[in-house]
Amino acid sequence: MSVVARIQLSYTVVFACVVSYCFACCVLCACHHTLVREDAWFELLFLRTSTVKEITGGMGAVMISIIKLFFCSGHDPTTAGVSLQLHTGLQTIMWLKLGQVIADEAALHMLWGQKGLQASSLVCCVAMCSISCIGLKPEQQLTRMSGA
Amino acid sequence: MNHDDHDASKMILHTPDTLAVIVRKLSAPMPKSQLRALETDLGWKFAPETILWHSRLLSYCHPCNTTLFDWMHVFVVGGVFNTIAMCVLLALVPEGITWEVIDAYVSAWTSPASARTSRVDDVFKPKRLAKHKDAGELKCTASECLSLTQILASFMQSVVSGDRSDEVKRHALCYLMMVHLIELLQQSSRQLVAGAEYTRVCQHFLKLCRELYGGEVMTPKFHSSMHFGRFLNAWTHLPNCFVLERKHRFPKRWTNQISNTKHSYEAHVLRMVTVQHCEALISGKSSFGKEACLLEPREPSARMAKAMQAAIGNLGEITVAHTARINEYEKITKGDMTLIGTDGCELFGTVEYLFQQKGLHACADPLAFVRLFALRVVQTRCWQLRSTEEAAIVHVKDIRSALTWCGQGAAVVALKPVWMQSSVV
Repeated sequence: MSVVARIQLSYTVVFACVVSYCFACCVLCACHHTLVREDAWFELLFLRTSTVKEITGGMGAVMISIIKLFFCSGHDPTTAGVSLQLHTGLQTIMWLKLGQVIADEAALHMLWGQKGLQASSLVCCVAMCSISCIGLKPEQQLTRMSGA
Repeated sequence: MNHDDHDASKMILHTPDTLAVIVRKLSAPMPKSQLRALETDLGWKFAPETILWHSRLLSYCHPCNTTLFDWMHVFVVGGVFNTIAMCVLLALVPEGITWEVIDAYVSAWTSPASARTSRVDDVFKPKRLAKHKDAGELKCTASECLSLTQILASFMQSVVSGDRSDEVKRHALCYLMMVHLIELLQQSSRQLVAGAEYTRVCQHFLKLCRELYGGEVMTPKFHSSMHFGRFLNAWTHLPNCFVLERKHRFPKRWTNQISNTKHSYEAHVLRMVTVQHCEALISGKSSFGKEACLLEPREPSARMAKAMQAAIGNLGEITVAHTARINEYEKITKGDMTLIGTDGCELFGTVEYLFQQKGLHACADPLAFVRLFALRVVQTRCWQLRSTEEAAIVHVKDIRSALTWCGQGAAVVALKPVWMQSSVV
């Protein structure tokens, strides 16, 4: 097996994208423009698939840890927001919520604990897909000039 | 509903309440064999470690509200495109449209440089035919699929409008419907698509697909394709995993090199990837700009300056670039065939030079020197062009799209860009 193939098969990367003030005057309009740029996505986690298999609950448990890290670690950015000082000198407060989860089918099943599609000839029509990435977007923004 | 059903009105979606009932049923004490049977019936596993069993966390991330199918995986990674393209091409063989004919047709086209990393002219070569036939689907990468969709659609359009039997035309129409679904999803990046329109075309496509090829070829991905109309209504634009697949090269760069670290291997790789990412952001290598601009501009070499002076005249002090951003959606590269101008006043041209003048009285906008082509005939999916033997300098911001084209000499055919394609049904 080639080195590249080994890596493709053996690692799980979880991405998160934070659409922040500096990328968007209007979040809804700028969302797609930002999400198609590689540099808008930050790697959150890098795990060997063998390591994930050793975790009780697998990717589902990893997802829970990530959500707890963002939202339940003593500071809730959905209600309290996050204060950011931008390189332009602007200060912004962002209230974050988890907007969209998107990934391939295999990751979906692992993440939500769904049975494989071979389990049944019927399809569960949940609006969900396999998960490798988490989109975080500011629900609201409040900006003011630094020092103003 | 069954996964090969085409009627979207039959879909009954899970809600937080139905999932709560499933969790309650699976959590009830029962023998292991009964639990396995129940899991199969419900389509969900008893997995207390997953988020469905954590009601507090569901308020942050509920599968029903946040999850989105990835259209890249549904259509072009062992998906609907791969299956249907194979079925259609096999159905056309008895009519004399062999793989050699398709190969010759596809090989004649030139894609824009930004899409040229995928070798679409390789896909129908004899060495890859065995792979397609073994897999029962068109085996090619997602980017190859995406480049192929438009070229094959142009071919199928000629079949539909040509003098062929009705049966052959139905196969070609099935392909065109599928391509139109992909086009609608691509057009959603420009927020041009209504979810109802997608669902309408999708239902026609799935119905025709079942009539032509039967339910056996219709994998669950065919059913997944029906959900995108609803997603479009909810979100207007649909993110996809192309960007994330491209980004896999960054971790790979470090995973290959790091083999002996006294700290956590995974943490070390993540640290290196993050440092590289931050360095790119700080140094300005990455750009989030939407405006037309030259990418990585530089001083022209003496040879290029001389050639430009011969072709254009004295431009004064300039910077040049190989690639330029034309708008928030697209880039162009030297050599690309491009669409210039506004509706009803279209110009076409191949880009020879991209440059920007410096100095007080110079034009501040990036410019392109293009060899012009005139519109001869407008067809459903393409334009027939002829060379005008003229050249012009145009603003890069006036260039609207890079085009896939074919032809030699003065006569050229250029495919309409995805965002200009209209419905086939």
